[in-house]
Amino acid sequence: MHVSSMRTALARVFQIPLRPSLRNAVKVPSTTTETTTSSFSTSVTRAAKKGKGVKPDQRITLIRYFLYHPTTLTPRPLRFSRNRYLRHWTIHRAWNLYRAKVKQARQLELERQYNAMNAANEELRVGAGDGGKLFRKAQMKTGVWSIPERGGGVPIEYARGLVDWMGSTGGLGSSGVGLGAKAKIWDSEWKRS
Amino acid sequence: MAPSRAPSALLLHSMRSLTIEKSPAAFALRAFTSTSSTYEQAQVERTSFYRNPDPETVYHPRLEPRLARAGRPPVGSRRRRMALAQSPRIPFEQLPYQCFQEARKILIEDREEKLRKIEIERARIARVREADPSTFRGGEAFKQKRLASMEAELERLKILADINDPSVKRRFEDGKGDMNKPIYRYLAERKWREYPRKVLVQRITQMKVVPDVVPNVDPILDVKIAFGKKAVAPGDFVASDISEKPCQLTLQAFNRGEKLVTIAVVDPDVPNLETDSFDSRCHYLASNITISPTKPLVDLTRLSPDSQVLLPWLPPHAQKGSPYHRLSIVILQQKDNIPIDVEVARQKAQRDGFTVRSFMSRHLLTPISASLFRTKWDDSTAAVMERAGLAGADIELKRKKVEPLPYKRRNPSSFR
Repeated sequence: MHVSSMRTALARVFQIPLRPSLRNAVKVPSTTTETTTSSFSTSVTRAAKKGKGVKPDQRITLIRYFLYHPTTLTPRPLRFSRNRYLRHWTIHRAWNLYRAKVKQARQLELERQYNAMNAANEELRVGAGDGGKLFRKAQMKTGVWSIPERGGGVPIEYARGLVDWMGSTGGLGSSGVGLGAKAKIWDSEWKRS
Repeated sequence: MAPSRAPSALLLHSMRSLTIEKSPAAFALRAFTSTSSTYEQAQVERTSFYRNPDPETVYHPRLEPRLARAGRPPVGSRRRRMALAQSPRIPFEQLPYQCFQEARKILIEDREEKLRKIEIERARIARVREADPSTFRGGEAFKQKRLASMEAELERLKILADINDPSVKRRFEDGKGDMNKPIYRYLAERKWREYPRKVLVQRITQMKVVPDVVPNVDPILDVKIAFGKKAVAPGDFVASDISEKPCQLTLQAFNRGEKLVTIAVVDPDVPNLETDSFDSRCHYLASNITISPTKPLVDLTRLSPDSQVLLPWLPPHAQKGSPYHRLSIVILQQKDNIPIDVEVARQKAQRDGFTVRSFMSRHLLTPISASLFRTKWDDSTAAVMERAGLAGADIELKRKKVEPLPYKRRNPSSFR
């Protein structure tokens, strides 16, 4: 069901206007007249001023609250008690610290690997005693992309990044002109002959 | 650095009964969190609660007046006290929430690492301090520079060691932070820079204290002005009878150590009828005032008239009809904390025509903060001026009527 229609239906059921005007939001026709007593207080609850009516039922207030502040659109603010907030904060800080440490460790590991490869290449270039021929051969990229059955390294399919959705032309430009016009990833005209 | 591991499942199971292990004695400068002893106290007192009710947890109306009579009034609302009395009163650090306890362990581990780094940094500093300056390529200057940067790093590590502690955060929010410790100084400065400093800088620049009184200032001190119990925001109008007595200043510093400062209260808006412009006048001048992060209060009435005050308080007053007067308060730091010779300075200091710039250059001072309040003619100004023995309360100043140029007149005679 659509959200707005659901709100309309709920508003009709509870007989409240759909758009909150200030007057309606403040002045609430009280449906229940029973006095709610707080479980914490040992004294009788009294209204702040004489002549003012009893507070409306908590449930009605809550229904109104969630109608006017739907959680799907505007999430409620986090309201914690002090201890709970401090616990939340502690966990948050620890999580950030942990993430930062993991990140730094990963970075250092990458740096170490890069340096090791660099040193190995340098050793090959200078220390092999063949004038760097081996190094030059090792750096050549021929035959990297090939078909494994023909003795190559990596299939050419993997030269392109794997994506969820490759578009109508498979990344070969727009479908109107040029190469993209001929590139079809799906031939919808095709019939079994 | 080894990557810190995520907490293992084995640890999670034994969490509830776990007490946090002590750090090794070598690094145990201070425990991560000092477990509060309220739990044990509550246990002891609960043995005979009706004989000896606790003001924290008493909630019965009959027991409250007895406590109040004994001089220990109940704390907080009855609702809160009741909730406290019925809760198990576990100290915050031992609350049995798994994720919270795991988080605490990570933070404790990090703190221990930071303490280790602090030890290493201290040892390094000691080594550099011992070393002969000729061994460095840059000589003594390089050594001092190196030492300064190492000290800064040490301070940074000290802050990092404590910044994740929830009890530190709680103590700071309660206003119970010890300003001797770097972490509380850091938190206080951060809080100050977040908003109050921005307001202060805005006021002193918009009301032109900065080019008019001091050439340039980057406030590093929090200045709070109060007349008696009445706090004054920077730039507020203060009635003349309130500002008749000198104000109390709170000069909160955020750096370690004592500072020797000079305080000048200068009014740059004194109308000068001869030259048709404005002069400046010094309303208060005092030197050799020692402030530190823990002792920020400076009461201008309490300063010693012999060794500190150069010019005593002159009540701020604005003549009727004159535009409002800015009473700018400038805090100047004395170079290398060397006290000024008051007798010599007193001979040179004059109220009328006082300029902060010349005073600064004469005594090698640098402005470290500034603030202001404003005053204008009000009902009490005449009485204040009479009590202070100042003339001019019976004069009302008026702006000179400027005759418009002939072609700008609305109805020139040539039209008639």
